[in-house]
Amino acid sequence: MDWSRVMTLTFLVNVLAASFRQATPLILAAIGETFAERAGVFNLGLEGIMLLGGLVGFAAANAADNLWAGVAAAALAGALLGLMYAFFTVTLRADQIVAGFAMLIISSGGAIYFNRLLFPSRGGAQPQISPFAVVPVPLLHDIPFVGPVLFNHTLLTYLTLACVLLCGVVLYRTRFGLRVSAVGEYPKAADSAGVSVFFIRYACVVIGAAFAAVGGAYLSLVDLGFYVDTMVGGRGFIALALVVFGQWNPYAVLLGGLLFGAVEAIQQRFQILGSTIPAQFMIMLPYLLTIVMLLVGRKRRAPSALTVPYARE
Amino acid sequence: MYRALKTRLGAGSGAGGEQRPGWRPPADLIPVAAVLLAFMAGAGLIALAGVSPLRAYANLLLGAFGSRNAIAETLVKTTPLLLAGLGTAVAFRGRIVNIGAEGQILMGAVGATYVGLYMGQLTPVAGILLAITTGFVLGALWVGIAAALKLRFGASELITTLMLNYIAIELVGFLIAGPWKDPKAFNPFTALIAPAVRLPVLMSGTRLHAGIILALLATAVLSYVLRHTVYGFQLGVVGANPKAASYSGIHNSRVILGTMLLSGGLAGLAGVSELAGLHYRLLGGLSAGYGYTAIAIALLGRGKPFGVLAAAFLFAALTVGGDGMQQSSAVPVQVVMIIEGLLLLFVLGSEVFRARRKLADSKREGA
Repeated sequence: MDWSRVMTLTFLVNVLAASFRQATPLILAAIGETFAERAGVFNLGLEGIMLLGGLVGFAAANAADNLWAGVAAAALAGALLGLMYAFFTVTLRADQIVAGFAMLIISSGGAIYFNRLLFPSRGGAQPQISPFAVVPVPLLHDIPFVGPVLFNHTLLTYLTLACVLLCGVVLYRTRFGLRVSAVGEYPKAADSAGVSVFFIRYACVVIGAAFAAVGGAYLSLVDLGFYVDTMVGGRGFIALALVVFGQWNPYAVLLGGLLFGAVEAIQQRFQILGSTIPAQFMIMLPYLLTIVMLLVGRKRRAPSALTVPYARE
Repeated sequence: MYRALKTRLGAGSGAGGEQRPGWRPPADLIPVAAVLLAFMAGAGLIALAGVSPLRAYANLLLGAFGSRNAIAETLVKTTPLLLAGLGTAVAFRGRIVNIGAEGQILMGAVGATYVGLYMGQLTPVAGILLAITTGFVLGALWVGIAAALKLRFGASELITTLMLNYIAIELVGFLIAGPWKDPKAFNPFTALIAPAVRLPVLMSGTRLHAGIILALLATAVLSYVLRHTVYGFQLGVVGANPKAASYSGIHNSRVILGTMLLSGGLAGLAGVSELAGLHYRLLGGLSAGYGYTAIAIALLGRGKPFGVLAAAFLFAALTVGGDGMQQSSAVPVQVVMIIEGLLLLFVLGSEVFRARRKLADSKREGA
């Protein structure tokens, strides 16, 4: 491999810019899951919800010939899945690992099944859409170094970054956010103080699933321009680890997501540059990084009531 | 007591007690209703494909049991699902969420491949026994990574075992495209393993191999171990209440480590059986998601070895029948995956529902 092509500013700028693109779906899923987990509900089904979001987003964008319709449809589909998951875990108080795993099978099976029904592959190519285009921010994108890294992305990436800030404000600075924490830490006290544990948990699970579905839609509407069954590739699971790494703090989750994006971006570039390291070992990197992240990110404890169903006596 | 008996027999049987108006289905029928509901939802999905659900389900049954070969195929599929399901179930009993069976299956297959490629000059019995041992050990070592990280750093085994799945897939990809690649073939897979390491075929003209015997044996042994040994008892206590376990002198971490290794080893055996009984060479799609289906099977089997056996057989029949259904009625086979998920979700929901009703009944009795 030609290292002189790696040790350049252009390479660094490209990698950093690509980190944001690669990180966007992870951050979306992880930010949503942060809400759910802060309220005490763990969602193992994220991976499947992302895949279904990817399919619904693609199918809707294809049918309506409008990319935003795809994003909206994905969010709606995710919210519905979240509602279903909340019914089993919050109302019926079912085991979250089991119910989450069931959601994983149902939603990924659903995505693959409906893809076969909607776009039968016999003869002819699968439909493709023109994905979201890059929208450089006027003036700002001309700043050297910072411009191409931060201000040369698709609208979905900008929106995701704005969402992180918004989520931070909502979680730490609003009454709703404080209630979420109360419900996740000590639901009994929250309940006696008049906070509806039921409502907060439903809301957070629905928010979480909708975010994950939009993250999946990002993959089909920005990354690829089409849908494939294997496109999520563990990102839903990585998002779960990101939440732990980020210690349930949206800003730290953002940083973790960017770190992941960087590894993914470097990995892809090394393969293109013809690195002597076998491709398989490069592809392993994000998964290895996930494990390492779990070892590092254990300073703050999880919300006390995480995975514990709440019932009034 | 009488009240409990009456609930068991159904509200309609026997007079006396406070008879409440309206018929209530007996509590034990609730899980049955859940299963029916899952298949009804599946019927709805099949109808969306423009196919008559009845015909599709008939084709599914035929596909799974309609011929000697169909039954053999169902048993062939039962084998890896059962072994990996047992592995996952034993971990669940200790409240360990090992969802890395997929990776452990692959590593078991890697172990058996090594024996089959490089140690082929063995007698058949020795070859198979060595492959089984190697596969078990490699599966155990693979989950051992997650076990070590859990016990040393408190890293959640749920995430680490999942990530190890992806790493194992890439590792196999590297082996079959690189050092172990069959030099005579274009496609990435290894050469065929030595005949001495292959599991014998049980039913001529079909693919049914001795792996099923291994799986059934493992079921029986595990059932005995869990019910009649000190280890089985300790695992039960650790799973029910880790604090109580350590107060009573059980070494929690030792039990957890042993259980995780056993869990990974059993999944590794699934890989050995697939490799030495079915494919005879290491290839990319060796485990077609068996490790994930195994999780649903372990949960549905309530962590009991014979429950896992029943669930593995059911899921194998669904998978094989689903393939038949796809061929004869053009319903994408993934509908089976959705039905499996719904089955799990509804049975889970129904148990919660049933437990709550029993609680309500006992409260009423106490009042």
